[in-house]
Amino acid sequence: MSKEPLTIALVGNPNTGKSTIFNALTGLRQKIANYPGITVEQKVGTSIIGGVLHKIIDLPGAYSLNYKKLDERIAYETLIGSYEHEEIPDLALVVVDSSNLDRNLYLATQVMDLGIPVMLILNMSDVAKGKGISINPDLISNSLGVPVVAISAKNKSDIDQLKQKISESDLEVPEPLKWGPDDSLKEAMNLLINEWIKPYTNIPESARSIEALRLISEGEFNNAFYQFEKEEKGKSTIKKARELVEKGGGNPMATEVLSRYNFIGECTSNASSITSQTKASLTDRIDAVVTHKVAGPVIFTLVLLFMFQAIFSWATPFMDMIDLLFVEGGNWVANTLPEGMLNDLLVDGVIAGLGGVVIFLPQILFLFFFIYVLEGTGYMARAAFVMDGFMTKVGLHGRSVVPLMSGFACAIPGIMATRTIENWRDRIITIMVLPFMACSARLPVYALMIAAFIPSTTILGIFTLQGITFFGLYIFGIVMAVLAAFVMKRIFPTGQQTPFIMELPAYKMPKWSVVFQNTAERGKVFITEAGKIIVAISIVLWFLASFPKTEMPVLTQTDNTEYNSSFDVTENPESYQLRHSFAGQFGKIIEPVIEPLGFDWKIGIGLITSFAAREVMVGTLNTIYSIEEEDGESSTLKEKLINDVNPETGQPVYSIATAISLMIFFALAMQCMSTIAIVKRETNSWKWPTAMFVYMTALAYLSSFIAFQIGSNL
Amino acid sequence: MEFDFQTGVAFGMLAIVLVYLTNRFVLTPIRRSKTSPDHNCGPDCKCEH
Repeated sequence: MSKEPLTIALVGNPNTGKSTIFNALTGLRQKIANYPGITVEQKVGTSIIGGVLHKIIDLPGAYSLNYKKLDERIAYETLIGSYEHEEIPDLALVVVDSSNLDRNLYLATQVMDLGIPVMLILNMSDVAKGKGISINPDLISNSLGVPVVAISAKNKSDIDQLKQKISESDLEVPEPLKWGPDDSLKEAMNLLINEWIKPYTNIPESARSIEALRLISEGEFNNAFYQFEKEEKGKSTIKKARELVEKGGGNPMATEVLSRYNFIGECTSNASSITSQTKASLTDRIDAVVTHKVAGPVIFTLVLLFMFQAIFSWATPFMDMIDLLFVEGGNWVANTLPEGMLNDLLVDGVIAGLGGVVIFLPQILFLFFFIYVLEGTGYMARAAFVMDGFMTKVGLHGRSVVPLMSGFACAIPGIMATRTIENWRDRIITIMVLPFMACSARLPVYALMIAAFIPSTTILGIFTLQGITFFGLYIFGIVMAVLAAFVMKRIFPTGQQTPFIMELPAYKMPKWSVVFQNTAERGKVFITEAGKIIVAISIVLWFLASFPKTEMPVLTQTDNTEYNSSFDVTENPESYQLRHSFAGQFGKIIEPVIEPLGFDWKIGIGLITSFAAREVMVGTLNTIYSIEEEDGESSTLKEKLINDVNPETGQPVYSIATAISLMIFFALAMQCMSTIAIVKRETNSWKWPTAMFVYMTALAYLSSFIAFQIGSNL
Repeated sequence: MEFDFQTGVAFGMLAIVLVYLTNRFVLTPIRRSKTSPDHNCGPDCKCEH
């Protein structure tokens, strides 16, 4: 091997241990950055092999170079040298999972067609052995015509063996098209390359075969990243090439895939064998039940039900402690600072606003703890699999499932994850319905309404009506997303569905340090990100609710003034001031619009401020109710809501119907400025975020109206 | 209204949060919406490399 520094790329299917090898090779000499203009991580490091410092690139996991997904496209583009900052690698290390050789070798045969030196790493050889699979690396090497090394990336000695093999490599370029396309496919490829790709496109030479095969298989210029001329000429040449394949008795869509797998089958049938008949693994046995078409959805429902019940029950003592801390903290500040505007602002604005939201930190932590535990055990992938069966039935694409599940945490990463959906209409439908998934920002509003207005009746000994309502709101979000997708699919048909492949990792114990670290990180984000906005809005709101200063008129026995709605004898001066403040006056203007939903003007103010972030609703209510509270009183927000009475009617402001109406409104309305901004960025148009805002808000209004009118007339 | 020390600090805090909110909810979204999208951004959009 030359003593020149090389650029070595690690390429392979997801979950083959590529990153473990990368870490073992580079140690601490690595940096993580994003690919230019895209939010996919690029990991680059260096490694001393044979006394020479080489550059190592860990490419995103890819099943194929036919780039249906963004990750696959990046791997492909790096290998063919599309990026200005990255040269074509001098050596591609193709990492394969030894226990799943046939499927993994598909990508290897594609990389071998790119005209760069290739070395095959049979990783997880210990797992393969455990499954009774025996592989002869030399025979694989002879069949493929590339050097092969069998390792287990967890063993240091195996990594040394890999380094030795790399330093001995003569960097020979493998024979292209070793998998042996038949004559008609070869003829079709040559026709396309010579008559169109070579003269009219800027596709690099190394990628011409792969691109020709892709165009023959797909029949159109999908996802074309290169520049080309004479589009009509290109289309007619693709058509001619496909006709050549058909004339030869092949199917243009499948011939290449079948030929590659036939070749792979020949290689592995000689070189690998199952030496012992191992019984079904524990994962297989669990999956037989967990992914069963009837038991699977039932288990998924029960898992969610237990999760939400636990969130509700286990978090309560911690929430009470935080509540006490803020009430006492508020009292301490109120009594310590001299009386004045700052005192009022800190106690009724900042502490009340922040306290109203921080109280939900334990529930947020429990929610993410469960999500990370389910992810760490491997159950989340099964949940996506179970949901996939249901979602594809209503017309959603299988690839939509993972982004939709991410929406449980926050819609923004979910919307970004839709980039893996290759069909534009499938992608836009997923984006448009994704905000229905109950994100963690809705949790404080749901939890407050449920704790205040839903009785904690025990059901079946372990569940409570509160826990079931909580669970029901999450299911409601899923059902609404599916229904909306179903309707949109009828309005914008998306054509033929492409198959969806999902890897189900083996079950394992979650890595607890990772679970706790990630959970703590989410808690930190909740406090710092939402907290900043809540404090800021609480301060502005306090000013709006405290000015202009209005004195309450004194009613005497000689006063003949008739009762009017601006003055109520039962009202305290704080409440009077609030109603006549800027916030109060504005609230009164919007009140007629939201009154049919059972909302008063204070909720109206909350609905507007929560557009900044949904959690702000709770902070807003706490600030408003604290300002209204008589001096010396200190009660929790829950108690304040229960005891709030409309001064004009004398009736309680909140009833169960109001609480349900408000929860439905929050479940359906598009009240998140950040989501609107991200949809604009992802679709490059204001058309989609506007449509999303209008249809979701209209649906929320209508549903809350129906719920309140039915609920209050029962 | 009396303009004492506490009133001054309170209005100072208001000014700071107004600047923060304007930046967070007006200026930043405008800046972000002007950046080019990544990939698969629809039929009317050309991805550039």
